[in-house]
Amino acid sequence: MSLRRLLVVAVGAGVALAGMPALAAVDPGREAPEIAEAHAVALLERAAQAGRRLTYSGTQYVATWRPGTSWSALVDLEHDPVRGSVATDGTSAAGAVLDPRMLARLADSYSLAVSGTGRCAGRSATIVEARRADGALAGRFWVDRETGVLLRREVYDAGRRVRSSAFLDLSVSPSSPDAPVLAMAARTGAERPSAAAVAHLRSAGWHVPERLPEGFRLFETRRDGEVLHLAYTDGLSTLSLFAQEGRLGTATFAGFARESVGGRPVWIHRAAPERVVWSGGGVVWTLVSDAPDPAVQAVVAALPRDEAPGSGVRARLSRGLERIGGMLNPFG
Amino acid sequence: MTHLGELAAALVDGELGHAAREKAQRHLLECSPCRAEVEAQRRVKASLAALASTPAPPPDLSARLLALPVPGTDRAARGPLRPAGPVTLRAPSGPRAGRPAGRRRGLRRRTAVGSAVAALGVVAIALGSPPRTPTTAVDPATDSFVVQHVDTTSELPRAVRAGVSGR
Repeated sequence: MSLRRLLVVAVGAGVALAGMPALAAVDPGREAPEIAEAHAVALLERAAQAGRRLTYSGTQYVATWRPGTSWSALVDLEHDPVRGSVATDGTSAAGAVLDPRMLARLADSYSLAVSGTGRCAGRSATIVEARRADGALAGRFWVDRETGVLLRREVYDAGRRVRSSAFLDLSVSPSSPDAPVLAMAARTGAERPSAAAVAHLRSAGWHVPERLPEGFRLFETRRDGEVLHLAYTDGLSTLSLFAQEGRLGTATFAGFARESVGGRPVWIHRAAPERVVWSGGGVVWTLVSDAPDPAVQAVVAALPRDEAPGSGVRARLSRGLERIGGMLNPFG
Repeated sequence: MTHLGELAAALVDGELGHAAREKAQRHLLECSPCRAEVEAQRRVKASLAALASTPAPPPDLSARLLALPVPGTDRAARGPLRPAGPVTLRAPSGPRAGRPAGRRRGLRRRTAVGSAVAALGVVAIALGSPPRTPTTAVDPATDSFVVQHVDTTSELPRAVRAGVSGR
């Protein structure tokens, strides 16, 4: 267990026990970096647990910026620990919360520090910054000083904001008596998929990378009929790969553009979230992600992709000779 | 499932994975054209394997085959190539060269070698269809995948993910 993880666990446990009002009064800039990081992680742990402890409702502004397109919405939502976040039109929601599984990755991939205080939805907040190894800003979190609710989150790429969500107004109800149980559930959710499950998929012939470029790490695998769903996160963004045995039909996809990644053909739809479809190694891949476009491209480039097969007589002849050679060779 | 197509050759060569093999065999139970195709592929493979007992083809065979005119041009137009039968690929040998009868025999031998090479070329072109791809065409349900992605991973309220990006 790394020192950072030890600190995370130790401080996290301390926070959980102490009820943690003291942490909101951190004075940034006066501590050793490890201690500053531990404070930052503890604040985010608190934000992750607030989603499992508290009932709240409010209006959230959500926006995404992509090359050539942007998108935003206002969402009225209600959140409680049991149902999660529910938009007021009645659809269930994954929740305007910090996913504990993402927090574990966040602490591993980025350096975290409390950068100051600010206000959001009329409430006083402590701001936590996530920076890449080169010091570039990758994300900012506004954590409510009073309750720990994640008030606002921003994701940056190359100095530009690519994703943002913020409460415009928020009202928090007193905490539920089931709080400790639900907080425990949040912790078990942080487990990565078992090595046995991954090994089983691999023995069935599936390509299941544990790590992808840009710090993405596998955190969930699912099978739904013929479709394998692999979910990854780098702590700030999420990325899903859907794999289906077969080849891509000749049909075009509405809204998708034919592009080339590393010289191989793919279909890309730059929306929120971004979608990429291609075939490679006898599998049709669909990638869905809210990560910045360059990160998505880097991931696609690291996965198997078919090239458009040559169809000339010369290509056929040499492929055929290769096959005959293979048949004649007793060791082939 | 559509017809096996290129998968037939892969099946005969034992190159299919377990799941694909099972699917292909299930398909063969019901589809006589595909059964015939697999049978034909087996015959091709068996006769080529029989050739394996003869000496290995000369190293420049590939270059000579590539230099041949393509079927459909005048050489092929002269009529279908007869199967060359059991062929031995030997260069014309020396002792008889120069004698009239030997010249004729040498000519015949060269013709035999030539047509064997041409036959091999035709077989190669027939076998050299584009690389095998699985026959099952997949149309990924991207919209449903977006919903699953959001359900599994995203912290955005579900109502949001239905939104389409605006320009």
